[in-house]
Amino acid sequence: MKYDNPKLRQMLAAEYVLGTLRGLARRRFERLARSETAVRSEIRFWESRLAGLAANLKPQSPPPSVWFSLLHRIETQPPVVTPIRRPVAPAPAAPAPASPWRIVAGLATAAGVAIAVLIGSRAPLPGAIDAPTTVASAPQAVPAPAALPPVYVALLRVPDTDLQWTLALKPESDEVTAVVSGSYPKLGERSLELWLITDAGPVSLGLLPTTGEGRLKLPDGVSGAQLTLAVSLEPAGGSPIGKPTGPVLTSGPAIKAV
Amino acid sequence: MSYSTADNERLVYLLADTGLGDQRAFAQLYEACSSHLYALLLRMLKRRDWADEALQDCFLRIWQKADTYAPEKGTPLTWLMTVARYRALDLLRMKRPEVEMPEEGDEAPMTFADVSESPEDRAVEQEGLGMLRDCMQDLQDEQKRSVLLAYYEGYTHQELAQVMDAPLGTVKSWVRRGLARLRECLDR
Repeated sequence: MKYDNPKLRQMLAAEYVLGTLRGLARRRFERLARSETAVRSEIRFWESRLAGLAANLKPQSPPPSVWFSLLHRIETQPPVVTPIRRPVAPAPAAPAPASPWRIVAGLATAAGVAIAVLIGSRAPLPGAIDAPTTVASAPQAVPAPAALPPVYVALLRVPDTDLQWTLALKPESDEVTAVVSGSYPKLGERSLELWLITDAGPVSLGLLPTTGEGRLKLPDGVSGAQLTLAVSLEPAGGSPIGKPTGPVLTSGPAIKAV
Repeated sequence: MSYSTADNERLVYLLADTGLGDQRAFAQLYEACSSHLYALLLRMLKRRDWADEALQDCFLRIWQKADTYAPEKGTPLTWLMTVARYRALDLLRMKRPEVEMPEEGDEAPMTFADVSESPEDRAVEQEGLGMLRDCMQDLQDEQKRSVLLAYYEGYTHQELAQVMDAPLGTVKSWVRRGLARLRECLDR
């Protein structure tokens, strides 16, 4: 193909961005773009212009599972070798950035003590077994798991703050216990409400404590390998309509621990 | 796109920090942009499971490639949407054979019988898209429809020919003339 014809290159760039340039022709054009600045800038022209067509699609919130699967994939990906891009950084001393999943897992391990207290140290926690420093000195003679009522645990942290809750959900006694650490200076007179995300939508579990510990109520019939929780910012006393009205500050899974 | 300059600046910083491996910046970037990308992916892929998969793929790529973003590639959201759209095109290419194309005479999955009522047109008619909107209005109906169908549905020339019930050569020329006219108009 004669790529030196500017009109043709313009057209190929347009069809490349639109997506109607397919197969081998598409790959060839990608190779050309790698070596030709003019081709790249033509592609960018179309990318930025046609992006306007997507601008007014109504935003759609993806399910929380996408984020957690994404974190899991990042953790299991081979590390990407990246050049040092910040020359001012003290390179030898700079620790490798922890992946999000590892941070979540790390927080979960750190919260192990609290969780162990909440669920009564009846069994080792998932993740705590392989952790280099075993958090809870769980008794070796653990009763048969089948005999124990299920307990779900979660760690929810509000981004950009140090506020977090360690939660234990006990369907057997319809109870949620929450232990707080940190604070949320911007809270003011508002409340933080905990929601269980079900197929039928969010179900309120009550208001979360902002200091110390608290107990919330779990609806009947909660089960599954993993539950999804979310925290929303609400007027004082909680949402007046039984559904979240304020922004969702954080969300995450509660994992069956026992 | 419809983001303000301040929003764009924030996204530039979040992208830069994500490129340095800052997971909190990445989480904020996801929070700020995922619903826009997801809307486009749902629109193009039609199936939630595919859109979920594609969104993960996109953000995995963004996590790995955030350091390659440069302002000359467009605003951050434009760049992210472009990543999403190319991913959707790739997925469609791999998976579309599973989706039955409408048989001749059957109703198309998205009916464009009344072009003025299509979501595409509503998008184009929204404020803030100024020039693109005006230029789109400049196109002949078939040119406009074929360009918009290719954009939102990720259709190939062959698929366009089937959906628009026209010969392949005719459809190709609608797309090309539409794009050429758009280029001329956007250049003005």
